[in-house]
Amino acid sequence: MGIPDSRTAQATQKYYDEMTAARKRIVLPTVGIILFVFFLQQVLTNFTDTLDGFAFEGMSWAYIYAYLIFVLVAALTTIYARIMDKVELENRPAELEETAAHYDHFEEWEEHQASLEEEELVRDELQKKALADEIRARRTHKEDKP
Amino acid sequence: MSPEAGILFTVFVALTLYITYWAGKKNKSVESHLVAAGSISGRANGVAIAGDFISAATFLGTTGAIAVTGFNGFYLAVYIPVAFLLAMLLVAEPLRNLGHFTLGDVLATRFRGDGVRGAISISSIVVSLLYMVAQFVGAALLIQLLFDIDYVVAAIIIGVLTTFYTLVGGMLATTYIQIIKTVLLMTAGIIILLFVLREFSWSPMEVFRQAGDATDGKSLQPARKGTTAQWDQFSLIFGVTLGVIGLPHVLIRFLTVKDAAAARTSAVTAIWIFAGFLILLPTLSYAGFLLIDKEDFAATAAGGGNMTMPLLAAVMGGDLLLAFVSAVAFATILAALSGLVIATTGAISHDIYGKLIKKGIIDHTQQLRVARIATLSSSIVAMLIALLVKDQNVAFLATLAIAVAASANLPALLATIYWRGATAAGVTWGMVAGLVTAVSLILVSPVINPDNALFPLKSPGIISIPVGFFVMWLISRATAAKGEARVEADQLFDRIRVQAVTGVDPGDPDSVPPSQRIAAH
Repeated sequence: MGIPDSRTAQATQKYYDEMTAARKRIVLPTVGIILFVFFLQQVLTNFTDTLDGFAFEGMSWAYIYAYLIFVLVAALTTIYARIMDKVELENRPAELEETAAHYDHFEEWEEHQASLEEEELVRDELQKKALADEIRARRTHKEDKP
Repeated sequence: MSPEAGILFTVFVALTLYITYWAGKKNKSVESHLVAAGSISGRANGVAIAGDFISAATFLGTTGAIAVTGFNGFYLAVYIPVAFLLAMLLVAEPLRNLGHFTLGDVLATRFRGDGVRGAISISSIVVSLLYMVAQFVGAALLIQLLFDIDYVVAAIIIGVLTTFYTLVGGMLATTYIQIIKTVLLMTAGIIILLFVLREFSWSPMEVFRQAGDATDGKSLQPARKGTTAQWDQFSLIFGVTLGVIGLPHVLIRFLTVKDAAAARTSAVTAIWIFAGFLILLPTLSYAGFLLIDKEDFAATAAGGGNMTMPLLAAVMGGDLLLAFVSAVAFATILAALSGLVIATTGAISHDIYGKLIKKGIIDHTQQLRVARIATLSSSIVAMLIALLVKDQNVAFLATLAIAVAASANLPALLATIYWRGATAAGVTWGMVAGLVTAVSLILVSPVINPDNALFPLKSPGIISIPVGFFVMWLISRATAAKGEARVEADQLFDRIRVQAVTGVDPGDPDSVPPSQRIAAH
């Protein structure tokens, strides 16, 4: 959907698009794979004797299949987390980074916000000053020219 | 109780009391009481989530089941990482981005009337209380067995400690006690494994080989005991796998971290712990079967094998290791019960009292007071029920709780987050249908009527979960919004989708991500 005009919402549009695209690419296939593999094990072991045999002494195919499920889960988890972490790192807007939860009291969070605003004001002032200096310097440069 | 067990028990209780004292100093707000003010790191939360499922039921119950029934017992371990992978993919991040204190908050972001919040909070309370009573009774019986003390005394000790941890320390203490317990339990498992491997030339395969030889291979193969038993097994695993994604005490843990990335880290950490630890259980179980004195093993096998691990610990490391395992089992129970108490507290104080009765007009101090009263009442109610039903077999309550979670909560959660066509009426009636079907099927199952059961399976999941989803779909279709209401419902769903992914509601200029939501509350 088109996100209405608000500072944070504007910044999150690209983040939302990229995260949704990544989730669409990875979540459905992963859910499909794990449900299929897991419930296939249930069917094969509960209703057939397909996995009753032994791959070698002391290790039945049923156990090998079960252990492979653990390996598959660990692999899918790692792949999903890596992809999503990367997409998140590249697209998460700075506006969402501030974490008020780090502050024990709301007053501390407000103080932090106030200090950020103050910093922004100081930065604005400095920029204005720099701009004024530059204009003055150009004027002086023009005046110096014959 | 042996002197070793007494010392370890005292050390553990002292440690948990200190954590509660430390957490109590920070536990001054309702945010802290219910969700640790979002201050738990992703990794720490992952260890706590793992602790919820590497529980007494797993460490003692699953190992016992593998030792006694063979491969079939391992089903109870394999489903856990699978369920958490599904939880990570489908609900963990949206839950953190949409939620605040409870599952009710998540659903209420889309369905703002009282019906949906009322239904999910009642379902959450039913699930958590059933689970709590099952844990309480199991715990008291276990403590009675491990420490040789009276059931009533055991139940009271557990009740008083759980109440103290949750009342004073809230979710922060509950989480850190769960983390310590998980570390202790894994340490106990690894110590016993090392002792075991020393006996089997440091080869797990040798344990499997000898177990296979002793049973003519049967303990390593799947067992099929007739059509009904096979369908029962399937229904149980189907129910518990999907049930995890609807258990309030598990899901609210995703609300204790600051953002969706941390929720993802929590799930990844938990899954890796499951994958690393549960894979060891068959080796420990078969070693128990091979090394425990035949008479002792037969005695525990008659009751399901729950004492396999403590007995193996005694054989391997004497009284000291037995005492350590017993203390860890005790810690496990307290940690699990504390999480359940907090989940019930949130549903009662925040959803029912704060939002439904007071319509959200409730000040901060009052909210915290109500949360504490709810904590105290839920612990006491669970303890009283546990004392009343001490002679009943209530193990089925845990299965019922998970079946209700899968049949009522799961369809509601998934539909709220992902299905555009869901309506408030559909979600509410889907929950009612799932809950009623699961409870009714248990009442007419062999669990309650062993000789004259109308429904042949002990686990209702295979029927009640599809019923929950179907009723939700049917009623949503029948009550689908039209015209302008449809446009509004679609716009709201679009907002929910954005909020589920980014944490910010695009339709509300004042909306802030979850990390800031708690501070701004």
